[in-house]
Amino acid sequence: MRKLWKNRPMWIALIAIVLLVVLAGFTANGSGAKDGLFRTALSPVAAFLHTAESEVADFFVRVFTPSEISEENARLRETVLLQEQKLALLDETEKENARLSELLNFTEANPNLRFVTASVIGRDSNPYIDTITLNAGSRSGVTEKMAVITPDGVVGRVSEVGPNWCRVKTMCDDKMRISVMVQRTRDEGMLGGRCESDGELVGTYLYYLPGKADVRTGDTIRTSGIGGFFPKGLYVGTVIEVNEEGKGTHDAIVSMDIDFLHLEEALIVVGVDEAIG
Amino acid sequence: MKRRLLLIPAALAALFLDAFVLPALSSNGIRPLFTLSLAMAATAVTAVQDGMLIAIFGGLFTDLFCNPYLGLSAAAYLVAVVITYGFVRKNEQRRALLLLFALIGAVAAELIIFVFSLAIGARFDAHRLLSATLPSIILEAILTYPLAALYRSREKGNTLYK
Repeated sequence: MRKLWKNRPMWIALIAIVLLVVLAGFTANGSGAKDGLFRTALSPVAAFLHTAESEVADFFVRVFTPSEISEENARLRETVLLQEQKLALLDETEKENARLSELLNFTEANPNLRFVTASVIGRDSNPYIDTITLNAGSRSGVTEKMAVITPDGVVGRVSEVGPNWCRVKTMCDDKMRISVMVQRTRDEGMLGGRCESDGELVGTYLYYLPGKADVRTGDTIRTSGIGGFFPKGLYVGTVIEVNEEGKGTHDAIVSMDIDFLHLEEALIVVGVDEAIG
Repeated sequence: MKRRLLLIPAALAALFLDAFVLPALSSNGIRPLFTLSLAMAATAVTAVQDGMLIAIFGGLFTDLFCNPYLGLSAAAYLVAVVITYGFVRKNEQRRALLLLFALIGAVAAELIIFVFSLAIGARFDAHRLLSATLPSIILEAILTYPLAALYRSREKGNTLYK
């Protein structure tokens, strides 16, 4: 008995546990009227504590949340940036795909020509020298004076070649001349040089047409094949102005469809298969 | 006696944290019972009476403010206190084991609440048990350790668990 008494706190605890569990069971059955009274009596205290709680909780939320929000913001910003980059890349890929498809269609439509596809990797900043640099060179079989074209027309001629690059003198260069013909009349002439109006490129000049040549606005100009560098029949542009009185100067102005400022890919004609053609 | 009376405000402060502050900060249902940790820490450091006082006052007030079953938390805390005391009394010189004892006490307390809830018709939710209750138990045990250290620093020369 004395030993049991020695563990008095434990006994009290055990009895308290039993009583408390019974009390819990009692209130769980919904018959705790006194419990209800207790709660009613304590409700003002609870209301006060709730008010204090919201203040304390707000304090902790203020202490802990801003860093979470800023972290989340940083994460979201990063995600948005990533998505924007992906979208831009997708857009760029779509555009490139369209351009390359066009080039492919063009090469398929000209099976007698052998091409090397190249991207523009540089443009001369000098406004008087109209050249562009492509990312294909002697390793790809590119040599000087080869024709550079796009489905929209003739770009120019290779003027300098490196192992993996080449420089192309465009049709807008003042020293550039290629042999062309008027498709409708088959009259031949020379084409080249930059024609500007109010500082804007409007086309290139057509020279040396025969005296009786009947050239009209809207006539299509194609390469004549004379000289051997440009295959015959490649589209060059359309006549937009005929010089009626010009003697010793140009005979007409030819508009080109190529946007030299935004040209991104081009085809270098590296060979012509006569058998197919 | 006067020293023990001071435990009541401590229990009320713990209740305030349990009932009002921690729920606002809890995430994923993880809510360590601060009062339980305090009761176990008091039991481990001084005497079982201290732990009992905190368990009964803290538990009853928690139930009054937060739980529909008056007495359940107090009973659960008391069970944890008794178990902690039982272990601590036999290992008085091994302070490092406090974490383990607190863990056992916390498991017992949560078990009482869990079994009682099942008994009155609560639905068994294994996911909640693993994702919320189990981390809460671990936190309660871990919390006991610094609370015991704090208590010990205030109870110089009067500690059961030196």
